[in-house]
Amino acid sequence: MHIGHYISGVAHTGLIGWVLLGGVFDSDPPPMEVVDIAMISSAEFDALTQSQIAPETSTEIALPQPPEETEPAPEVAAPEDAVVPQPEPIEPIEAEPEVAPDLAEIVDPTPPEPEVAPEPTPQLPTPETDTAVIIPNAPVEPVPAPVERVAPEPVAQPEPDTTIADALQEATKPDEAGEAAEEVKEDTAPEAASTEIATEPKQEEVASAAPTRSLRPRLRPAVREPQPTPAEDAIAAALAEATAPTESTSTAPSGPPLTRGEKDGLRVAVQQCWVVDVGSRAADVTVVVGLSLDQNGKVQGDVRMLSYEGGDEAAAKTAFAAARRAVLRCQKNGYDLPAEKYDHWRDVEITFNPEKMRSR
Amino acid sequence: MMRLFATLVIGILTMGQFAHPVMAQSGPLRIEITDGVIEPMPYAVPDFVAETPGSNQVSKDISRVIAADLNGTGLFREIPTKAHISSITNFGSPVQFADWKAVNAQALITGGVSVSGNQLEVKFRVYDVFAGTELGNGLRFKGTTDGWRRMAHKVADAVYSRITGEGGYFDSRVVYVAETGPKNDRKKRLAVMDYDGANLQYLTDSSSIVLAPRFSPTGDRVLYTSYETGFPQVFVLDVGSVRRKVLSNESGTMSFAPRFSPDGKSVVMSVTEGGNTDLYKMDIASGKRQRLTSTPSIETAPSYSPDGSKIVFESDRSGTPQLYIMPANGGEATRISFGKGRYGTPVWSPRGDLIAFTKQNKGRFHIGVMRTDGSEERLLTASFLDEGPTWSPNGRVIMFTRETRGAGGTSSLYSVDVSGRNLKPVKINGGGSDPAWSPLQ
Repeated sequence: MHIGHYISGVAHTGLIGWVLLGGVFDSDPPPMEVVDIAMISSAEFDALTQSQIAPETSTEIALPQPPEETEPAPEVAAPEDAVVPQPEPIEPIEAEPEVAPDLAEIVDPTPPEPEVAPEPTPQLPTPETDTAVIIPNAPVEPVPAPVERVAPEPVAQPEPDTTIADALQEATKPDEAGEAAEEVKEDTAPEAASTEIATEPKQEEVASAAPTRSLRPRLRPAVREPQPTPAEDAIAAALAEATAPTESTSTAPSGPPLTRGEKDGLRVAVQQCWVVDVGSRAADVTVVVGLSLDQNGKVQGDVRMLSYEGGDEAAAKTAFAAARRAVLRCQKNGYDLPAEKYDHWRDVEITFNPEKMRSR
Repeated sequence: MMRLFATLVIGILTMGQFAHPVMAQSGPLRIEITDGVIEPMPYAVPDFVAETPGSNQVSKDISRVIAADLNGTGLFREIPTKAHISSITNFGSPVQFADWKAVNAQALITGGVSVSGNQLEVKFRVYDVFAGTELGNGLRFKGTTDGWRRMAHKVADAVYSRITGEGGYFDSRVVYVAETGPKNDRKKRLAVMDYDGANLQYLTDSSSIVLAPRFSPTGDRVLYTSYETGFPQVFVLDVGSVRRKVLSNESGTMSFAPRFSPDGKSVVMSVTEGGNTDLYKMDIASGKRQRLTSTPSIETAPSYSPDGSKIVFESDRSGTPQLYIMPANGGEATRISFGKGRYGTPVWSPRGDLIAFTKQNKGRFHIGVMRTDGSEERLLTASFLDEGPTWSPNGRVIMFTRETRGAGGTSSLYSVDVSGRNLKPVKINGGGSDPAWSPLQ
């Protein structure tokens, strides 16, 4: 037993000694490691960072174009709804006659502020606005939009077959008047696209844009609900918020954020339509508006005033109206934003600060 | 190698942890816009619909007056009727917003006019085209056919208010000194007109010199200075009956530069007595006079703040004419003008935030504005002779007198936006000076 213990003790002592002494005398590995670390930080860090950034920018630039193709389709769908809601405006007129205005007010110098149709109008106008919002969007877009959007997309697709263009021309001629067909001779692709627009449900043909289109129908119904319910905006907004997070949380972290250039693009697009009345009290108000965009970069639902600073409520309302006009007027066919980063610009908050404008 | 690999992995992970918060975007995309554009808002006002056989012409006339009112502000630009791709044939028909968007109309004004005997009815609506909503509710005015211009002004005021969020000034009048004849023999008489020069009416003859008329807060009376008695005295005139009476008639004194208090019950004016000019406040009903200043210098051109608590006036107590503010019942005055040159004829804005004045510096005259504490002075005009500013009822526009150089020089009325834009002459018959804007009727 003792012999065994001695042997074991000697063996362990020898092993420990070899580990300690061997490490001390073997000085080669440590210096090598130190040198290696220094080399890594300078060379490979750069390589790593460059390799990470490069792919992000390339994907951002490349993808934006395809999503735009899907825009025309939804716009065409809108006209159908436009026809329905219009009869309502007629009601306000009937309401006005009911209110008996004072003749003396205007004839006499005394200021008679108008006889408003307070009772009837307040109720009626609300439906008008709702219907009106839907109507305008539909008819306007189809006119200018189809040509611009359709043209670029098809051009990209035809790459494989140039001969297909001839066949497409023949097909379009019989469908509609010869005028359009002749004019579009060169743009054979556009006509093919026009047929696609007419057949919205047939998304199979547009295979490349299929995923983006499939999302649009889901968003549009959500837009109409908040508009017609002025008094229930809070509820609708709450519901929207409740549902939005589930989607956004799943998608938001996926893609890279917008670059500074992309943000600047949106800012420039909006500011060129922001008309500031520098002599008004509204020019003292900084207003923050919130809005949601669909995948085509178009405003969906209402533009909301989130907060204001620097003036009274009346001035804030005017400042908000100018901000809303800027957002709606300059969206045209949709703001140019990278589709693959949609989760990052689905919801937008814009601060309109007229401080610099006042000094002009 | 293992250590090297581990170091790399740890380094990359560490970088990722620090980089992520910077790159990540939580919540909505946020941007700030500080540069906008300053340009008139394009709008459309198709001819109002004539709803009765005899209302065709008046419906068109009303539309034109509304357009002239809005265009004249410099804040709006009418889209010509020829450019319209949609027409309004029925006031009750739904608006095709797409058609108005297509012509870039941001606002649309529709209306209907009906005439029954001498009774005129005008109704209208205003739309925000791009929002696809109506701004406010429809309004309807009733009156007589001879008052169609005033009804048009009222519609324009309502439209202006709904779009800008501020009160209008179109349904207002201006009293001024109408001038005729050469400079060395100029005839002067009081005249009153609509703000746009229409419906001119003379209130006095040209037998005596008249100066500086001022409207009462209700617009039914006018204060002015006349040399009818041989030396300047303050008169008050009823605009409706054109009857007048001397307000201050104390022998051995001269009174001038009168202005109503905001409640219309008293008048503040300059009175020269014993060679010294000071400010006095007079109760109109009792004629009782209260002295507000007592200095050897000249105090004149007083103007109340909108709340009636303070008075801004001109004084040369510092050696040159400057602007001062004191309590409405007198007391210590605070100088507010410190720029180079001479300041005079201060007028408190109806908004209460600005004071308009005349400034003379280096041989040029200016109309300018400053904050009530004298800060943020801005000169809006410059010419051989600009003087006598008066505010529009909403405090947005300033009207003043501009006189041209030379023996053949003439006086005329000009207006300018408080931002310094939209400087333009006011249409009047002949020459004019000393304008005073009435309150909104």
